[in-house]
Amino acid sequence: MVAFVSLILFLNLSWRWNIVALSLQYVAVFWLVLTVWPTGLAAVKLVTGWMAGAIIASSIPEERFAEKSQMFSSTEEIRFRFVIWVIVGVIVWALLPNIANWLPVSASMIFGGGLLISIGILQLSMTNQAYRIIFGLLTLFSGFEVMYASLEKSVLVAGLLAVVTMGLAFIGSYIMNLQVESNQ
Amino acid sequence: MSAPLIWIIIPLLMSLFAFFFRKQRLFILLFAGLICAFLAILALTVRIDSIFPLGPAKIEISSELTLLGRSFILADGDRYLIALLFGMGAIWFFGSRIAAANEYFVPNGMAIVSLLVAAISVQPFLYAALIVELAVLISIPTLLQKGSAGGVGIFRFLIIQTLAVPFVLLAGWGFEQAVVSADSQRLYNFSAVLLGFGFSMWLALFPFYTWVPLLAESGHPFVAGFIFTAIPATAQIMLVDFFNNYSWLRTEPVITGVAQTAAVLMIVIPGIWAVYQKSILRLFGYLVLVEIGFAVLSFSINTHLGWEAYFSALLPRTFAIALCSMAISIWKTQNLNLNMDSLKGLFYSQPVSVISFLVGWFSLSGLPLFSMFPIRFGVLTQLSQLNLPVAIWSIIAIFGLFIASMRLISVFFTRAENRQFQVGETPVQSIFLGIGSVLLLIMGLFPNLYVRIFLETLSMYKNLP
Repeated sequence: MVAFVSLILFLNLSWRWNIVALSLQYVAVFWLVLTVWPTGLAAVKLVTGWMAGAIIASSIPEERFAEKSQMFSSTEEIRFRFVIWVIVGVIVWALLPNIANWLPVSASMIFGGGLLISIGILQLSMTNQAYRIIFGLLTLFSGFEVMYASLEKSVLVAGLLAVVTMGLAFIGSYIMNLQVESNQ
Repeated sequence: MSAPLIWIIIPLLMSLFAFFFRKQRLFILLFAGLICAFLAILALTVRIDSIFPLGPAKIEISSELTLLGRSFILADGDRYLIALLFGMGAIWFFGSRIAAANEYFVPNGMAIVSLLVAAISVQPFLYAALIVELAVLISIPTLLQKGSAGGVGIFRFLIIQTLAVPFVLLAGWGFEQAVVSADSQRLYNFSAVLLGFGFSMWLALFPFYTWVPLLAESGHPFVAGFIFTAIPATAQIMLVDFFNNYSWLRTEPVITGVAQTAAVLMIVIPGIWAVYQKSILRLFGYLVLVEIGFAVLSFSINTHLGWEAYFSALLPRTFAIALCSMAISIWKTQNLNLNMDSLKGLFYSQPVSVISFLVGWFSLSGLPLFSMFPIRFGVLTQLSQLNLPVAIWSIIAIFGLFIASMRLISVFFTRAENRQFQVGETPVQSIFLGIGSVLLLIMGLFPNLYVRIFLETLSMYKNLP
């Protein structure tokens, strides 16, 4: 599931697909975190992620929601991005035993977290558009949260990480609103 | 009453109040500026953890506050650093109106100062990463300028500061686990590497420094100056704490070696780039990078003189960056093109801001008789005894800055024919810039005035050389 949503987010098809993929990404994060955290605490990730998605979605004008503008990937770009995604997936898979040597985290969490972190970094390095940077940061951060959940079970850390996730979404929404205003 | 309550919780609540009244610009800047000035003076005058009389009553300010099971500790030795952060806030908030910072700057800036004090004081350390990240997030709306919806610099600043969080959190976990682990040295080394990455991002060290010149260009210059001062200063203080607590970090030659290499790259690359740079905004960013490079260089020397320089530079750096960023903001509000070629003869229309900018610039460049000179001289003298090639490279970079200084003088003072001399700044701008320039000049002529203050702070870190 993590692999699928990271692919959809990385392909950057349209607003609708991106928001759906972001919501599913947090379902996947919740699922993975559930293996090491109690349900109540793991649900914080899900609720925060969905709220972040809702905040970002609320800043997109309705008429642009389903549109496929120049902001999104062309067919050639989709092919290129798919190949990159496969390469990144293979690299993360190859690095899995090395990371496991350093961090006491299960293989599924390292793969899921590592893939999200890598795709997040890749997204950040391939764009200067505000909304994609925020998606990239949220993806990277949720990947880190998956890995870190096994290491630190503090409620306060979980709460502060949730605040950071929400903060990123608010900043993204604020900047996108400013962009819409300056375009009008 | 506890110190964290006074210097963290109360200003944080005040910033919330200021946020709701942010449209009343003058009232809010006076309110926030005066509170910050009061808190800075309070930190300088009142001792923490000792009883002092207040009329008929006796008051004791304890150093610890427990909140949600975590401790915030502000010891007596931290007072000068708290005063520096709140003093910084007061300078920037009072200057915010004449620099035309947006309405979010004052309330958000006050929250940033409180959060940075919280980051310095929180135990265990790993929470500091998340608190600093919150401060970074709060700072984004203050950097955005009218008519612009973010630039590359703002996004890169956000990305690099956010990337620092996982590194510092993992390092914090590693340091905690190393104590109980059978393979503690391996875990310590792993954590030190992660911590190095985290601090490199916070301090904008090589190769994570690109956001500084970009932020100077795309963000509001005055607010960018605040960010360039506040976040690295906080990271510096946290770094000292680590070095004080973990003796093996101080004695590990790899750490000081890597820090020295990163520092010299930070000094040489921007120092040489400054010679060719045409945008005054980017030039300002490069100058800040050189200054951060010198801070890291002085800590990498790891001698008493090095640590003295590390702390002593904090105050003149604050004033110099404030002056430069204020002068640039004033030019920007007058819609001047900030390319060097377009600033010819600026002295004859904006004399006060040009002089103030040059005073700030010369101080940060380390020119003799200016405030940074004795500090740089001390660091380079020590360095020449320990690592001569690094000292020579640093001197070459300083020459790069000197050449840039000469260029600036030639640009600002070139007089076009028939150009009349006039003072383009408002009286308030002139007074603000004038006071700042005089203070910075006094610091350069009488460095003992402020060096003594920070020596007391240094004495708190008992394990440092």
